[in-house]
Amino acid sequence: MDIRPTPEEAKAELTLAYILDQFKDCADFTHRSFPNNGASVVYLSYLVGNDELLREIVKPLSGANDEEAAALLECDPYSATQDATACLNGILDGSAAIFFRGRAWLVGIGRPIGRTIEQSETESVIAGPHDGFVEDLYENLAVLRKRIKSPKLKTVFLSVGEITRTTVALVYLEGIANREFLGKLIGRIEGAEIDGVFESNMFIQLIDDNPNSVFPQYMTTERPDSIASKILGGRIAALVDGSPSVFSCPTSFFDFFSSPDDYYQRWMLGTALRLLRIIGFIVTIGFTAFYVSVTTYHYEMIPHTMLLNLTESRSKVPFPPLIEALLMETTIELLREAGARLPTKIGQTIGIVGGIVIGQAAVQAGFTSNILIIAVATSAIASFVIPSYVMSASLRLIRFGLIIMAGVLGNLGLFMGIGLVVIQLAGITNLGASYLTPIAPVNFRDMLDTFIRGPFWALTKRPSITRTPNKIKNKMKK
Amino acid sequence: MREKLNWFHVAVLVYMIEFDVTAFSLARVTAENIGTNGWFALVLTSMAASINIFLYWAVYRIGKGQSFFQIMESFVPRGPLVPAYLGLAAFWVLLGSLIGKNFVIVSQMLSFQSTHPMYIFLLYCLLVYAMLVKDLYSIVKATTVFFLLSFWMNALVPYFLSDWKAVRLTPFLFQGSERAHSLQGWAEVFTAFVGYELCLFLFPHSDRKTKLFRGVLLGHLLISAAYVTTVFVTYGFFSFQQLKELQFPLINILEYLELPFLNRLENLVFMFFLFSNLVTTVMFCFASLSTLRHVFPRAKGKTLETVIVCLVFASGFLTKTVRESDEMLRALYFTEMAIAFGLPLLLIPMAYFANRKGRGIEA
Amino acid sequence: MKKLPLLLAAIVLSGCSDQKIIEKVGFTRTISFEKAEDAEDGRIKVSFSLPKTTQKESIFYSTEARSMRQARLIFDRQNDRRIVNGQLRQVLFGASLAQEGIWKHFDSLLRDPSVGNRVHVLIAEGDVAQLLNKKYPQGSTAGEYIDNLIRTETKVMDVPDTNLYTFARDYYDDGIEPVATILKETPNSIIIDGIALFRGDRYVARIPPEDKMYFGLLLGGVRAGDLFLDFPDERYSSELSTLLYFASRRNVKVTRTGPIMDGLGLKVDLRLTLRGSMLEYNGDLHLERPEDQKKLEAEAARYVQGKCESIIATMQEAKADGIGVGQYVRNTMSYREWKKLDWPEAFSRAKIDVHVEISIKDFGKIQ
Repeated sequence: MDIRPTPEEAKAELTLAYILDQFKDCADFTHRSFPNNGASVVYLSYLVGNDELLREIVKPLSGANDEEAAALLECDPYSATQDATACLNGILDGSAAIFFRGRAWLVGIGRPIGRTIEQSETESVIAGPHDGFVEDLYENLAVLRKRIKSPKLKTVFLSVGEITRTTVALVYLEGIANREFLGKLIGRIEGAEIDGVFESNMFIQLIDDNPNSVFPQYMTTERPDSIASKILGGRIAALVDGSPSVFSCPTSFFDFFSSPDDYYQRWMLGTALRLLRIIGFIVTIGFTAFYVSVTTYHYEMIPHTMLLNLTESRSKVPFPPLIEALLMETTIELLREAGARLPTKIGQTIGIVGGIVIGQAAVQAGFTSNILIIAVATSAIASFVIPSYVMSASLRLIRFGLIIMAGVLGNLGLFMGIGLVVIQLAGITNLGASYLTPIAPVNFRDMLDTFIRGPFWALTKRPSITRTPNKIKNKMKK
Repeated sequence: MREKLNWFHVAVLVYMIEFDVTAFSLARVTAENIGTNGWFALVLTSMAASINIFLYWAVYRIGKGQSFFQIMESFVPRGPLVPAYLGLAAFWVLLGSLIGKNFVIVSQMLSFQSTHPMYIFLLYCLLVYAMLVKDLYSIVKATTVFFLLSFWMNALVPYFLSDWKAVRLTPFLFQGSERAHSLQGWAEVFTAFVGYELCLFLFPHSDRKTKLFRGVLLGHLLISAAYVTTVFVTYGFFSFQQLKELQFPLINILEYLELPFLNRLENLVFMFFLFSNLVTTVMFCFASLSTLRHVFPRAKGKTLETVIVCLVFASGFLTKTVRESDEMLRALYFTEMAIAFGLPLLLIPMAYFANRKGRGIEA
Repeated sequence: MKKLPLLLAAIVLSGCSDQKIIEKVGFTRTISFEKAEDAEDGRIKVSFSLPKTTQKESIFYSTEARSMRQARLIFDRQNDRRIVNGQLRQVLFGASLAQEGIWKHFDSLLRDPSVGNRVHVLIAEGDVAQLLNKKYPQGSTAGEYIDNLIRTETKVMDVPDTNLYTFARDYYDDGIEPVATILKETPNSIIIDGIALFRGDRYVARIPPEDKMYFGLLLGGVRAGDLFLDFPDERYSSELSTLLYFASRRNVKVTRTGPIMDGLGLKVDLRLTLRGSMLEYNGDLHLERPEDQKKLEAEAARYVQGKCESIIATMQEAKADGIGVGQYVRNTMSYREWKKLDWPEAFSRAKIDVHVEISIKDFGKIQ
């Protein structure tokens, strides 16, 4: 449905009557008149703050006569407007419209709506700043401005969603962010045609280079420190109003495996964490599949003492390993999904049910082998090591694919599956930048900040993927 | 924006093209054809291949980076060239296909003995298709990852040192081969390096800044070093007569790997060769694709890619046994070698005259 | 998304014939070959031992057949699970069969891609089937018992780790002959009973178990061996001593003193260097004195040298070059000369000298 104003509407004259007509049947729409000077004020009552209303409108206007009101309205913060559409949008954004002597003024008296800044639930940290982004765009912008106190931090406001008219703010550092990427991103966002946008993880799917890939292509996070460092690295951050996730681009696959915590630790520890995540990545996509492959086709690979135990515990299981693994993986996914839907207090019972009932009882009942439980649980835990929830969800899906391939063709199938994933990854670009940077195109300097977390004196340059015109970020000597 | 190939990625690509099924039997092939200390023959043949690469460099320099087709067509009208192009394209498809099929047949020796080989080959072809439909730049990116997944295998070499004895190498050079030394024997050793000639199709994707031939040479030297090391280790690990008996010495040597938590690692390590063979097949298909694109510039969408992959699959029916596959592959490799040496010899004078002609027009 | 059709195709087309789901197959742990009671038309007795999942017991099959495969077909008809060879750990050859040559059977093991090349190759004396089928107080099945025994013993390198790979490697090599460890059954254990020397694929001579350490010295580097020196007579000033944790090195030097073709003109010097701790000593020497220490070192060296020379004499008599002198001789010759040389013959006539040098690191806690 196209609800953009028709040409007639766009040309409509801005009168009080017109506005009243547009907002008819809106019960929260308030019309207020000041008899002493003849001014009329209209606003959406739940969008505006009482204090602001009192301060900007009621107090000044109720005591003013004709001339005084006219003089008052010429000053800030009152802004005159002649455009009917602009006036409508202003009211929808929480402004009040003042009609006086046939002219109209807008004044922003909106109140912040939504929760205050608190810690992010999905990305918590132990050491590091504990604030997270919230739903309100302006709050989030303020948080970023507080972190990067530079006039070079520029913002571009765009609006998306034909009905919802959600604001998207692009934030970048002038002279550091690549203008070509910025232009591309603005083009993409303006080209997105949809009636409504509620969440940035949803929005980024509209502006992907490869909409049919399983992998997320923009890095989203709820952590302001992470976004601030991305902006400093030359990336462009985009805030979507109403969503606590902020996305940044261009993104590479490996960005999803780094967390700001890595930089708050000593570099060796940070490196160890990165390596741990790489192990987590391998385990999460491949471990169960490897179990299936080995128990179905490659029995000779299992050391013989382990083999006998394995055979013993498998001997009661009525299904082939493939079915067994799929069943258990599905159960784990059910547990996870159930845990995510339930309130935290009840969520704990899920852990007990999952851990004891399913784990113990399933083995004893001969429903599954205990080694598989280990494999499945390990891969599930490993998937939580990956800082990005979106990426870890994608990897879990790939895991199912690999399990099936392993169940069909053993190691060969497993490797064919891995090959397919690699081919997929290689085809992905983000705003035209390669997803596999710094492996392909290769950049050894970037690897210092990808697979390991190099010491700060070594991280002298901004990442190459951003194609920044200002490469040096650290002029420190050892 | 057309991405250019950096020399590093060219090196990776050449490494992966040259790295294929020949690796499994290379030690035996050198032992049979060259004799004791056959690993040294690899050094010599690698040098010969480097000379060939030098010829391609000459084509590149003299032709000022013009593509193969541009150089050809500056002399011969397009019409008569079309059958030659088609022949080349078909040949490369066949070669790529049989390399893949050979890998499938060898892998079936280890496991999946009774699965129909064409079923595995079908999956292989789907992988080839998934890779081929991407642009060259994406192929190279995937190749780089595959390279990392294969290159680590060279780090296994120290594992074998405890059972490696220099005394088994014997002091004799090139003695005791199965047959008398012949050009064919040496050519068979040379087949290990076939593949670098595809750099001809990278000309349009490079410019002066990307240092194409630094990459080609580096990739070639890297794979030569890897092959020589592997074969050298194999010669000191097995005894010479044994080497001549083993069908795939590389698989046998991998069989010796054992970890406390995993035995018989060859079942796992072998699979990494899937990637190197995949890249080889894909790049021969890419050569064929470039040729067909040139012949049919108006082909729509992914028609050509689909046709090529179908042909690859169909060619897979040609071989069924290891012997057949080896024999056919050998014949194809020999032909490819002739092409590899023949093309630059043909192209250099053409490029030279084309250049002079071009300059004449300009002046 | 391109993966979806691929996965579907894979599932639809997959065959189950190659599945070897672990609980549906029986793993052979040990295979043994021995001479049949009354060997007609080349039949031999082949036995398979498959461990049960309880780990304490094993299933044992034995039959007379012409080859390993034929026997397996018979066992397949009896076993409730499909028998597979991928977990094979050791293969035992009866001593009397080994004397007639084992390559026929060996070849079928080498050919099988599912058999790894770390499978131990062992010679067993006496009734092999009985050795395998018996319960031992050491707990686990005979197969696992042997496996652990060989692993422990080969770690110190005094028993050469003879597996399919080393056996085949040395069999094919013309400068060395394969060897194998000999096992024997005792009433309540299995004991390593020496080292079998082969010529080609025939078992021709045996190094007694007391001397296996000296054979280890001659074969190459021992990493952490123990050497018991029982000085025999008055020519030595000590009664006995034990050298522990010693490491040895071997150095081979070949010189030609005359025409080589009959082996007489060949002189080989084997230089062995040992270094270890002396932790047991009975005798008249005063070990606190440096000159007595040196004397002990010299006496020990003399003793070891004598032992080694007697082993070499055994090998020369059997014409079995189990320590690979031929490989070094080969290095001094031209290819044509070497090909013409009948190495086993030449070996039996070659003059092989052993020079031993022992240095004692310490004498333990007391002087």
